[in-house]
Amino acid sequence: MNTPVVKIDNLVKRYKELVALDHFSLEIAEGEIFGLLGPNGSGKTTAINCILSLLAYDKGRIEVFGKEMKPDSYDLKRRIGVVMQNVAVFDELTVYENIDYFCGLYVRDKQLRKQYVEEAVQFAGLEEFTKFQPKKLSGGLLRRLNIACGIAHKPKLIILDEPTVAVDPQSRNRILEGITKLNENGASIIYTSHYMEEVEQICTRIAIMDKGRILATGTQKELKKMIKKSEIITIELIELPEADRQAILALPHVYQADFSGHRLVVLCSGGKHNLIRILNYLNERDLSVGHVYSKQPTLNDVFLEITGKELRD
Amino acid sequence: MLVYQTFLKAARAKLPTVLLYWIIFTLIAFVLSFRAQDEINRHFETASARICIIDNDQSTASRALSDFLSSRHTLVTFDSCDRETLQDNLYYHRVDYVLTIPAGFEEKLFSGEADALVESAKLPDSACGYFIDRQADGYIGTLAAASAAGRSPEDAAAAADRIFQELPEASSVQFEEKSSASHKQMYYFFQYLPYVILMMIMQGLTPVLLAFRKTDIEKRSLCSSIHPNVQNAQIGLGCATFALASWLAFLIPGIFIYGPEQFFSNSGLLCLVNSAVFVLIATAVTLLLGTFPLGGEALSMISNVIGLGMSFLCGVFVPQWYLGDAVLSVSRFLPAYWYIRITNMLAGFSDETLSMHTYRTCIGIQLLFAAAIFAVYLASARFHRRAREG
Repeated sequence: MNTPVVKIDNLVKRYKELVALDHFSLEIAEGEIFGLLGPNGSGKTTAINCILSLLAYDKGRIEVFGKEMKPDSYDLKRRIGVVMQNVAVFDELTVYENIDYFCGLYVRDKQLRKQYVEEAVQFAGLEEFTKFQPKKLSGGLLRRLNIACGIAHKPKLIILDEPTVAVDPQSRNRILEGITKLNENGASIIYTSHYMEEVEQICTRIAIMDKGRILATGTQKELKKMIKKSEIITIELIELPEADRQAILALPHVYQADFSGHRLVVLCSGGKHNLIRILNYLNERDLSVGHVYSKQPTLNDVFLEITGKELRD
Repeated sequence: MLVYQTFLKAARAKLPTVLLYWIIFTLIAFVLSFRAQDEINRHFETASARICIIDNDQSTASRALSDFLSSRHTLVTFDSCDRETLQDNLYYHRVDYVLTIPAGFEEKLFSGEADALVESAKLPDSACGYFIDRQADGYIGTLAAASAAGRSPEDAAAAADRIFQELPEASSVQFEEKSSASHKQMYYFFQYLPYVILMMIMQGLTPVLLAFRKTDIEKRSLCSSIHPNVQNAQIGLGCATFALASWLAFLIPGIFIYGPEQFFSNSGLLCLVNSAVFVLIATAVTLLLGTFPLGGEALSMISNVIGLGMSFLCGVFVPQWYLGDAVLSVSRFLPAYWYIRITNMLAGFSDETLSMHTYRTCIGIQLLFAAAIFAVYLASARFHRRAREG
């Protein structure tokens, strides 16, 4: 088995009385896009800061590329790229100078650096803005510059801490495509976000965390299998007598059926043909049906079922 | 030296603000040069004071003394010479000095008496009056010496006139005044330096330091493969380069305005060393400011409070002798006070005579200030690092 890119064992980090990371354990394999999903304040950034040795922790062990990560592990740091939650660039420098500076913190060779910087500019789609100062860039372009600064030195592990906060949908898609491309080029990625759609879109494996603890880890499918809910069926009806609602509730795999505002919402816990069975019943009872929707549970549903609250509470 | 180069690149963006201070200061230095030149003339005119001589002796010696003084000053006469009228004229500055030669002056002089031969009236603490007293005493002393040598009053007066013509006292006074006043121009230059150098270094360097200390940029830098101490050393070197460049930027117009001979004279060099030490203080203050998370407006406000506050309290804009004892007792706790004290001593702006001991003491105190501020900066940086590391 390959050595994990990141291995965290029983990490504990306290801020006085507050336990920010509570026996936090994690393993990230090479080539993964690993999503850390959790609401604001769940400990994602603290975990990232600990991995990067920016924060001292109280207990536990962190290994990166098979070696213990310490503040002076410069050989390891050389292989890591970081994209911070807030845009971390110099307002006084141009776009090109910013990327050049942050790349230069890892790459000494000027010729190689020039090549890397140009590739990063191209990657982020900033060719037309190289002489611009960050103040003159839009929010989306600024985020792209922030990413270019973090990945210009071609790291093997890239840590992205909520890189799409306050970004328009177009720029967000471009950023997510870029991350997938970086992964295809061989980089392992840790991606933190509280946007479940993003995590669902790009991550190969996901850890859901809350209050400094990992609640569940796995692929999307694995996570969704962990919860009772496997299908959510919504049917528009003019009316639904209580006896019929009870009858639907008694159908196989149905564990919840609510009717309000001319909408019947049925939650199923697995099995096949749930929708057909419900529609057949309604047809038999001569109840006219309007729009019908069926959807799989989201990671938000997973989070909701595990914690009892929404991701964005 | 990537961090150093980037630091200077970022500082370059702040050049317009810094240049603005530099240009204003250079213009002020030029204007002050002309103003000081006017002052030289005023000083000389004051030397040619308006005097009134009341000769009650009307002897050869008394007339010789009157002629001598009137040849060097402007003689004014009044209708009445009673005490009250003369006091009024002195009070209203219609006359600067009144000399009364009592009857029996020549007799007393030639009989060997030396005390209270003439009476003078002048404004209290008048430098001009003191100067004319000395002139009169010098002339009377020469007459007395000639009489002691057995000369007649006519011969004694002739000898005294000859001596005083050969000794160009007035022109020597004029020359000295000119020399000290032209030096004064240079002292004015150094006098205003603390404010401008503080503002230049604070406004130029602090935003760059704050940019490097911005939490996320600092985090990103700490994640890199360059040791933080190496990065800090390069930032420190960048600060030193900026401070040195600011100091040199002052010297260049100074050399042009006052000339290298004066600028690098002994007193000029003492001023230069003093200013170099103050640049150290300004840099330490800036480093300390750079450890606090300040926005642009807060920085501008704080640097103005420090720059203007220190300048007003320590006598940069207002001479120290105008400041009350209470203010001076506070300003002693500020480094600019010791800087200005040296400039005042060198320029003769204060009663304090220049001594190397006092000079070294003032420089030493300034160095201690720089060291203390630097120590606070280190403690503050350490505190912030600890806080960041959790």
